[in-house]
Amino acid sequence: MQGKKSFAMFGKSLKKREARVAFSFISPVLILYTVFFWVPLILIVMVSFTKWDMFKPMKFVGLANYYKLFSDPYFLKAFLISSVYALSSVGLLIFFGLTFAVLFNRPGLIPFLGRMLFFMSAILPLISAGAIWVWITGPESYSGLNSLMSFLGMGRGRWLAGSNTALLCVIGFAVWHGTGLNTLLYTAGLRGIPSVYVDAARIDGASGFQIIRYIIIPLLRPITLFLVVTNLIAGFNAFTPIWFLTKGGPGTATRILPTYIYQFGFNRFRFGFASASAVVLIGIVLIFTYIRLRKL
Amino acid sequence: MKRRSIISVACLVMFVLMLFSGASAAVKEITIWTWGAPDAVILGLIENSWPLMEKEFGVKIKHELFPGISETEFVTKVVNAVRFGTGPDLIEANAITLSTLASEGFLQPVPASLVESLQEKLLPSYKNAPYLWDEDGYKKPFMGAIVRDAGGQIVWWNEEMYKEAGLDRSPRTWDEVFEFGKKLTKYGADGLIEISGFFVRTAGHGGGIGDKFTPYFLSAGGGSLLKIENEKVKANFNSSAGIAAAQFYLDVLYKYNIDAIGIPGDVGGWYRGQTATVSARRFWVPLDVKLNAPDMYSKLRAGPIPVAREGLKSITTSHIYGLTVNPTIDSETKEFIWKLCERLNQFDMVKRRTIDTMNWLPYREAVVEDPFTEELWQEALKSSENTIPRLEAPKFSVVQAILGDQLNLIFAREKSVEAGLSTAAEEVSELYEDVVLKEL
Repeated sequence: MQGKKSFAMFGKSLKKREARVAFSFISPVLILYTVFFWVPLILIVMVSFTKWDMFKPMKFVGLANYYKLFSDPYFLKAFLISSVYALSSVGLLIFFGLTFAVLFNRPGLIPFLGRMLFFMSAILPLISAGAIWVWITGPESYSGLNSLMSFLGMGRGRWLAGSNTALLCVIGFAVWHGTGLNTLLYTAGLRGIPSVYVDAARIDGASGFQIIRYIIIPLLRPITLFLVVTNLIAGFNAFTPIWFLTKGGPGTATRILPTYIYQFGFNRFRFGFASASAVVLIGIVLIFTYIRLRKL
Repeated sequence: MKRRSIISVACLVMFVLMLFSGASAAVKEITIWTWGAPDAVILGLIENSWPLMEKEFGVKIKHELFPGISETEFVTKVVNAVRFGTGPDLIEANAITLSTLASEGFLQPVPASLVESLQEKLLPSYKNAPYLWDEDGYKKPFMGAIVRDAGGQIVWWNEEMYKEAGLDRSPRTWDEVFEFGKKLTKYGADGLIEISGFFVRTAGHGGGIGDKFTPYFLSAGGGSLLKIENEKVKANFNSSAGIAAAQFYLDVLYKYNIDAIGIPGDVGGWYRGQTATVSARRFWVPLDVKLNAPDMYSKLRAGPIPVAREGLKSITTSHIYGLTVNPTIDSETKEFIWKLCERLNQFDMVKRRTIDTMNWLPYREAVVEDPFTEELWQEALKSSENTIPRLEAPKFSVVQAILGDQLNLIFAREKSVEAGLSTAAEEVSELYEDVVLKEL
């Protein structure tokens, strides 16, 4: 070994040759990751300091895009709507995910069917699920929700097309489409909890609610944290469902940060400004990613 | 050993076969890019000329569509593809993409002989539509494309619904829109609109909102969406005509409540009976209705865009799709492609592309043939006789997107008409700040 250089990697000391072999194995991923992640990321940061329409050469404008961005009330509104969308959908996803996992975490046909039913929405392609949601919450008199309201003798609503209801509808979609996956992960978590804890609590006279409150929820904390952070990241990055359902409208009622970025970048050719918005969004997502990496 | 020999022989046979298949694959392949994806059935009908072209010219035509992306995205894609040499041989695009290509110096003028024959064939109101400005200060307009599809935005209305309401024609003025609209709109017991009397585009892509708004602005005496001031391109839509047109939309939505944001519009909404009147630009509306809702075809009627008040002229914008050659391809292919385009303009091919498929094109020799002699088509033609090319300047799709995004806020009552149009005007000035123009 003496005279031969070693290479520290993965907490182990590897010989240079072994390190080369290791690098050669991971290099395809590294190259792809660099080309499709790091290079665009660096480019976005660079473009955010320029004025660029993708045709003419870039013009350096310093922090002008950031200044305009933070003085645009619609950016701040988009940030607020993004936060409402992400936080409320996360809260509801966690609540419903846990509730259904607890309800259906038992043997038998009905809990199995329940699990299946809730997981169905998660396996539907986003666009198909979106089309179903449009049919349910559309403003037409024959939409699912309006038909139900009429049947119950209640007033119909404009739902997806209403300024006050559109955001609720898109949050509803995120919850409906995402609950299945959250339920599944919570179910896996529940099955990992040794039954002795629950049995011991029962012998001590704990009620069902107390078991959930003092045993199950604390023991599921790592899964909850994982779900909170990943759902938050997904919530802030959501584009497809919003674009498909409302295109950010009516007005700016559902315009979240990704749709704001898209409108300035690809509809109005203001790529410098759109990149500055994207950098801010990346910053927000990075904060949650950091939290996830620290806590897990 | 024996097995190895068999494998070697098999490999050799496969290699020879591959060589031969390669030889047969040496047939010239022509690639075409088209923005959007129209109804598959309609597309099938329109594209019925390709197989014949393939046979006649001994080529393989690869037609690629770009559904789901915005007009501006397609412009970006095409211009950059041409710039980096990865573009198609033939580009089928609307005037906005073509004008952007022209301003970047990426548009090949149509050969003089073809220009002459095309000019003879086009209807007078469409003669200027394929003309584009050059990249050098737009001094020498040139024909940059062969027309493949065209139509002015007009009003399409449901005769049966109109008859039920005691009406026998579409509204000609905005006052009539409100008056007719009140008679045509059907409300539920809770006051929600079930059938809209007069659909106006108020939501969706900003570009689409701006585009559909333009004829109303023009029919309010607006003149042009853009103007030149001190050799700089400025917005003109924040004029009194623009304010009036935006106010007209607001009145439709809120004062007279004859349409609402979110009511399905366009042709689908019309043939599903959700709206009595719709303004749509493409002249394949009748074909679309005939294919998707044949029982509604007999109810379809056409009329002009209503004007702001009596005495004004109904003006609409034309929508030209054109075929143009990628200037970066080799000269031999280029020459071949212009020949292909020339062939597309001969009567038998025009017939195949228009008359046989009910796909209206502004060719004089085609529009006098059945089915275009039907009353519906004559109404449509008459309604669009004051057609101006939709094209105004490069980046025009961005102008429409800027305008549409602000209109979206106005129609949702998040901004006043004046504030919204003024914000859009400022952004337009910024968009063209590096462009110097003497006239539009």
